[in-house]
Amino acid sequence: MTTIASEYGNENNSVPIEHRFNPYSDNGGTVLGIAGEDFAILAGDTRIVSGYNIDSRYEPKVFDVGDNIVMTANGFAADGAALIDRFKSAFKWYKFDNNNKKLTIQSAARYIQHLLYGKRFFPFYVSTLIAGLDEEGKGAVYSYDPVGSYEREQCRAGGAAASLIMPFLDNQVNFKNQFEPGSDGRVKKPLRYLSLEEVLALVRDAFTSATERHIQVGDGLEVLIVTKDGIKKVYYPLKRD
Amino acid sequence: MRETDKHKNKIKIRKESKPPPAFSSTISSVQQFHTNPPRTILHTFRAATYYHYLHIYKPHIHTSIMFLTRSEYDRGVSTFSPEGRLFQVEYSLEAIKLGSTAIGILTSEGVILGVEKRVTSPLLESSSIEKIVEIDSHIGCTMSGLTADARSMIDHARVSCLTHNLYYDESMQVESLTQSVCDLALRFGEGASGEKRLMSRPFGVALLIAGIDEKGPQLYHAEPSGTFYKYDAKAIGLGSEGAQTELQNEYHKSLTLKEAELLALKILKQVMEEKLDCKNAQLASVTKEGGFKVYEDERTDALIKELNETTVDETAEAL
Amino acid sequence: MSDPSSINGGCAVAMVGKDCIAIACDLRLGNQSLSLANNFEKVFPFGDKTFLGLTGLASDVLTLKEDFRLKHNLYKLREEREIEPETLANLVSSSLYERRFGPYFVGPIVAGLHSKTNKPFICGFDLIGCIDFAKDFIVSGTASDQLYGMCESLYEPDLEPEDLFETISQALLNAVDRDALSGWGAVVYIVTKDKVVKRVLRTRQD
Repeated sequence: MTTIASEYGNENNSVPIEHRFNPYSDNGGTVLGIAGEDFAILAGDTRIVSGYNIDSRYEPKVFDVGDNIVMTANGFAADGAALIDRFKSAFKWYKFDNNNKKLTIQSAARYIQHLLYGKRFFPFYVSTLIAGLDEEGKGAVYSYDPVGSYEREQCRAGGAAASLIMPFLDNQVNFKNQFEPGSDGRVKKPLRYLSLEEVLALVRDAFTSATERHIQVGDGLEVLIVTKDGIKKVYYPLKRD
Repeated sequence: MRETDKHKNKIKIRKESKPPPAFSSTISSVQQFHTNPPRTILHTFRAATYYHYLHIYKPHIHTSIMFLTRSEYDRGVSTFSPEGRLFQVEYSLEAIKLGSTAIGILTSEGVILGVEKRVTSPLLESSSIEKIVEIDSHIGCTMSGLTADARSMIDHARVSCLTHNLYYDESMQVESLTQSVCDLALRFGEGASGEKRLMSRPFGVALLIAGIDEKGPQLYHAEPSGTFYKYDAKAIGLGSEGAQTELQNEYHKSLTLKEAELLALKILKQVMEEKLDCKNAQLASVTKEGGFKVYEDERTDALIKELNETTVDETAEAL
Repeated sequence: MSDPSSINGGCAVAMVGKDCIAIACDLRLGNQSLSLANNFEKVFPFGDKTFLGLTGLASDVLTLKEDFRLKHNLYKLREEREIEPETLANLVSSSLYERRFGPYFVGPIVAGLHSKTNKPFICGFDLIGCIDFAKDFIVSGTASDQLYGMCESLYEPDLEPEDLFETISQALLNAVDRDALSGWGAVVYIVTKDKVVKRVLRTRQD
């Protein structure tokens, strides 16, 4: 028996195949935080994807991390879970080291910066949001980039559909590009705090819109509402297609 | 007078007590050891150490006792004696009693720290004696004992405050800070979770840590043993016994900051040999408004003047 | 960012209202992060009630604009009538597909009213001419994500011209404010059966 020479044999050898481990993946999903006068909300859809596959239709990603603070880390789900676990453990240590002192939202915010920056050269691939009440009882939302740069804001969208939701929030929460009628666009519409009902309506609008246009968003919407009386969880179904 | 009595007392007890047994590794001798605790001397030694003034202090008395009481358990800093004591730690507490007197008084308005500065030579620049130091803008401390040892404690304390502020965007609590300093005090041995041994011996200095946080003004006393307690008023150092008695007599909860300043100076005046002035005494306060502030020399002098006037008044009234 | 379609920046959007359409674009022309001009219109009229918006690589935008002007003029000479929006859409599609393997880097949109029936028509294309017939709105350009989010949440069917103007303006303005490559002014056309209103909007200048 003879072997017939084929062109493919040496073709295989001529180009070395590169193998590389990629430590990150994208699990889609989107999150959103809005601060009100005496409340704050953190909302996230409950879909988990990997590629075009839907891994889960209900996997909560907004968590109560203690002391009336809620937290989410959206992007690479494993990193998000790890970050929140680290925060929860740091939270316990804070209690041990500081005589059970209440962790303020601004202290939590600063600490998370260090959790993120601590992995500056192998970052958590997430957009992080926390929400709660500040020391005056006013709603507070803090947002982060993957390496810990952070800012307190009235509202912030993060994750896959952040680019769809954020301009909507600018417009509807901070009244951007809205002016007093008859002022020829010279008098800005005055800012005011939105009620919880208004905020929830905006959140649902934002997520139904994002679900409509973004394939990684959908299935369900879970909202955590922080008030001085504690944290309340509400769930709304989203389109599952 | 009292001093002499005490010395007699000490010597007497020393004669009564049995000499320390020779140490051997046999079980029988260990048992013997248990039945004959030789530590009476040390008790006496501690209880009797009270010197009002520097010139009464006779170092040779100590050395002789030390020699007598030295045992196997004095060698390793972290070796327990069969009675469950760490001699090096206990001796470190003695070192504090050689230091100049330091006082802390808590009021509802804030905390006052006062300390004696031993200006041992007229050629010594008194401002170079630094016994009250800032730890953070809301915490300060004063020290007594081997003040050189306090440098590393204060460095540690400052780093702790700064790090806390960096990590949490808030001021560190006074108790947490004190705890953190006390954690360092035990680093003459290896840590339970593999921490390196940092020092060859325990610290020879105690701190009075004064600070203010959301729980209000607070005063802590941190010892080389790593324990700390919260006080309304506390004196440490050479004149501490007399000073503490005086504090107990004079202290009350409704003391104002002003009264506390004068009380601190008054007590320093009592336990110091030299005439009180801004060169040999220093004050500091921690208040909600001003945080930690070391008093300017002029302010201290003005307070001393005020103290002297009131004392003269009282004396005049008594007469 | 050597992607040709996002070198110069810019975006456009079209919406359908009740017997009317609106089409709008920003005015920026840039070279990556450097802004070059604030008068670069991306919407062009083809007849009275038909408009073509072109976003993407500026040179292709200009080339195609001239190409379609030529083809539009030839169409008018041959047909002796105005081109309908649907016809323009098919012209755009076939012209783009001719360059299937060496495409123009553009994202065209067409909006208009039928010359006789005044039926609103809008559509969008990918760079090789695949038509996206939409009933509600079409977005294109570097701020397309933002525009999708805005339009999807602000849009409602059968808006009157004034309300349609407000809706498309808010959608465009807030979208371009979240896109570094778009903005620097905006233009909105509101097309009704007997009137075309062009409005230039004041926007953030950063």
